[in-house]
Amino acid sequence: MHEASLIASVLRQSLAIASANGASDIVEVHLSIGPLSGVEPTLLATAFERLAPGSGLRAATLCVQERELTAACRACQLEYRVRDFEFTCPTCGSTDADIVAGDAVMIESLTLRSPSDAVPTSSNS
Amino acid sequence: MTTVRVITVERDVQAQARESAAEFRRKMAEQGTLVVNVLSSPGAGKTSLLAATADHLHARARVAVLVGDIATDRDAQRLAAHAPALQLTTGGACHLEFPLVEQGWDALKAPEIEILFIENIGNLVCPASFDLGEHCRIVLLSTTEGDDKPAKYPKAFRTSHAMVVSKCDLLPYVPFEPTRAAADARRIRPDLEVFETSTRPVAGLEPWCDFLMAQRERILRGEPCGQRR
Repeated sequence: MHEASLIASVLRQSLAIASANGASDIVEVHLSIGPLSGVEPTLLATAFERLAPGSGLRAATLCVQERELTAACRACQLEYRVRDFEFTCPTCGSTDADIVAGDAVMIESLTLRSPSDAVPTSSNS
Repeated sequence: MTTVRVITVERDVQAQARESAAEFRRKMAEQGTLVVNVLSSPGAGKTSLLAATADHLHARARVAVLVGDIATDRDAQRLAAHAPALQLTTGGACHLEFPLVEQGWDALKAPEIEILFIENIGNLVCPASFDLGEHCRIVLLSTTEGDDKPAKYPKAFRTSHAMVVSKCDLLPYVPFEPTRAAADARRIRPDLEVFETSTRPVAGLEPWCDFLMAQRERILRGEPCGQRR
């Protein structure tokens, strides 16, 4: 189960972002996944429940959004939704394409709680 | 008083790991070492293929193997008669990650290697999600597993450059149709190269080894390579 390894990385990165933004707590962690992310949402949730308490994210909630698999045609540059893992451009018929979404585990956003006088040092690092 | 706010991140969780892997890939290309990540189910014949490949390439290229397993160093012992080999033992993890590969390469201390194979943990799911700094990813599919695996494990086949069908000597005895497996795999990865091989007896290794040598020529010319999406 490599979900635990990915969640450990999510927790490390989230804590670094929270610290850079002067936050005292992480309230929510929003992830997105897709059909080729190679992860199971329920196993991500299980790993989060197991690993978050020991990491400093005591009361954070994990929210996982599922995205479509999207590819960009190399011939005509059209971005299209890939169904059943069939990479055929609906406009020009080319099968030469790059995946642009739906194959990674993305940290989309974090909901942070901060003391009111905290001054953020960064908005996205 | 506290305030609650939303910070937009939009970052791939593996972005940093991919950067480290990409740096290793650049370094290995510069020194002329092609790195090949080999994926398959347990028992598909990765070690047998790599032993036979090392023997077949003997006069053409110096090869070495980093071999991953959850436990034991049996595969490294098997491979040692054919090429310098180092066992990477994960102690339970179902896939290799880049830091273990980098440590393994440093520990191997094999000079002037032209092709470094990384034999991943036998598993068609988890290893597909991890960039090990390879230039080329290979998925091995044995005829005893059934020809329906490409459709069932799309990520392993989508992210690979070539599929090696192993144990083709058993084709008369098993319900495996190579053309069906290739068609399914190419539906997911249209430009996938396909090789049919066996190691008992050894057969079909020439086109496969030619492919490897051509991949090495590509990295020497500085052509783009590496992880596919």
